[in-house]
Amino acid sequence: MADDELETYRLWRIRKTILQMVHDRGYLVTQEELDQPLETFKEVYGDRPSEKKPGRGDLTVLVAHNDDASDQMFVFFPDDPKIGIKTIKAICQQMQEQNISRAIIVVQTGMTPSAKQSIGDMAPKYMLEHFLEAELMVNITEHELVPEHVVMTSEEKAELLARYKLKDSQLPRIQQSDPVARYFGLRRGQVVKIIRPSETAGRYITYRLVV
Amino acid sequence: MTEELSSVKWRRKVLQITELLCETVNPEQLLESLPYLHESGWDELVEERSVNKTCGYPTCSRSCRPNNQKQLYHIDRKSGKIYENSNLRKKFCSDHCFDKSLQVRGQLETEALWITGENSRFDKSYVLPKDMVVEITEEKPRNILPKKVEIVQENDLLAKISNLKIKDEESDKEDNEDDENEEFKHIEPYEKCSDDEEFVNSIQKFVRTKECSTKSSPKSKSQPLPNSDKEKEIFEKLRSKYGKQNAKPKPIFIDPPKMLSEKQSKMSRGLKIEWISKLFGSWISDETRKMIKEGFRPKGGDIEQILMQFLGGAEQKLENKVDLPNLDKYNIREKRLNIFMQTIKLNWSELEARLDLNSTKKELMARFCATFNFDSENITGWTKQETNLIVATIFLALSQVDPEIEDDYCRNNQISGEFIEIAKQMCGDISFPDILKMIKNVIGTSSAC
Repeated sequence: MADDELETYRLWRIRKTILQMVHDRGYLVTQEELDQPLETFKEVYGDRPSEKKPGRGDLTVLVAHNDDASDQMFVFFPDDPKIGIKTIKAICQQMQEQNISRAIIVVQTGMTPSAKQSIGDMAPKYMLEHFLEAELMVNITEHELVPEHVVMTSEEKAELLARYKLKDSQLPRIQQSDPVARYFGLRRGQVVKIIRPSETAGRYITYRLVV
Repeated sequence: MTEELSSVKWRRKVLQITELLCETVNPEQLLESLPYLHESGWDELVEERSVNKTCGYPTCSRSCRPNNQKQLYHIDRKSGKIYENSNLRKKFCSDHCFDKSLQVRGQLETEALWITGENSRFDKSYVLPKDMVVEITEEKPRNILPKKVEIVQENDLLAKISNLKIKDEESDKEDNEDDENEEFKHIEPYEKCSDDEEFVNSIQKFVRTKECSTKSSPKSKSQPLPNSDKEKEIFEKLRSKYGKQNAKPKPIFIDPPKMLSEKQSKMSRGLKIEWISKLFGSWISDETRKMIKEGFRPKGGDIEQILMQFLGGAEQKLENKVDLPNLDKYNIREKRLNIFMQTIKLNWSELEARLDLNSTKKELMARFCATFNFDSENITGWTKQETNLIVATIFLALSQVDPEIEDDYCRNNQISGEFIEIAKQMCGDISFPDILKMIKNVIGTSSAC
């Protein structure tokens, strides 16, 4: 089945990008999993998505943070093409049971407006981010036109502001909805350091405050 | 600040209501929550419910119709338009619920609650459309198609098609009858009405009569037509019912533009002498007449000519005398003369060869033709014979100008036998003395003027 082949490939790509993403965010992912080739993926999960081998539910990922093992994050792959409040509620239920506050939802075609609103509604308690499958087919940070982004810790940010005698509102800005900001799951007030090659300076470092 | 807070509060409230209505509720609950909703909020609610695979109308507990339609656009070839395929109806269990939803939506506010704040919307009375769901489920099957589409039951079609099939394969009738029986077994659930039976009978009768007729005349095979008026009527009915979609628009006929040459050649066929005289008459200008009167070498120079004309009291046509600059970059007169000369060139050379003329005569002819009045319709587009006739006419006209030709071929207005013979070979049986008379006539009118 060509469809199955294609679907398996898609799932493998999406999962790979997701793993790279959580790895870049500082969560613990083994190198083996990061480099998993398509063949191994097929062996582990199966190669017939049309018969639920693998179903999207099987792909669910749970990762813990490098520094703080109690800081865990879920990655959900809902089966419905479009997800509504009900799915969000179910996900929250599961997060509540396992006492996890962060999750990424990978949706196939989209979300209803009310579902998005309910995600925003739960924001302080449960941090839910959502990505479209199509967005995860490639890892945007590996693109040659995307410079290196480094997320700064709050200490680094304080040091930066002190060194340049700045208030954080005086920094250049980046939107929270910026693709790279979404990739790193940036929050309002965080600062990201962008290192880009420059013809004149060799390397140029610039900072962006997430708004 | 308080406003912002209340906005957040209202937003949350609306979300709560939406969540509540995601589950199937009773009409009272729905009526209570309506003031909190607005139009696009209602759409969101419908979408939310359809994602949960329940009918979009909040009081309806059935599931929505499966939406496996992936086609996004629908092309109407007849009217040449593209329509977007709406999935809206698919979010409801039936069109009835869809209609009810539209009714409710119409009553809602356009602005969201968190924008308007608490206003008159809570005093407004909302009316729920009457619930006729129960009756409908009893009356009709679940999957009701959109009203716009004409419902054709499959069996209905099958009955007709299977009967129609006989037409093509009447060669082995026995097999066909077996098929028919099978088909009829197959379509048992479809209750045949009298109309259908009539139709079937008529077809069978028709097949029988046609079988007889095919033996005698195989031609009728290609054009099966109903015999009696009754059958015609039935077919008409059926066509009006089912045939509309396949009806092709009638082709638009565009008449080809009528060509001029055709007209001319028609004329020539009928009245050759009249045609040539008309054509010749249209060419002859005052200048030509002058040339004929005075010969090729006019007395005196240009100035003398003009003086003579002036003293003679002739009307001056300045635009002809003075070399005015052209309006566009082409000298139309020259162009037309060129075209004309090209047209008659071959024919003239033929005549020249046959009569053993020297080339000075050609120059004479060219000078003679240069005095003609040309317009767009009398310079080209003739058949070979017609062109030959034209050449002969010009030659005869030249004889009025050039004494040499006159001496050789047209002495004392008697056309020489040699020329007549050659000319007759070239352009058919035509009385050349008549043409000569015509030429003199045309030229003669000048002197009258």
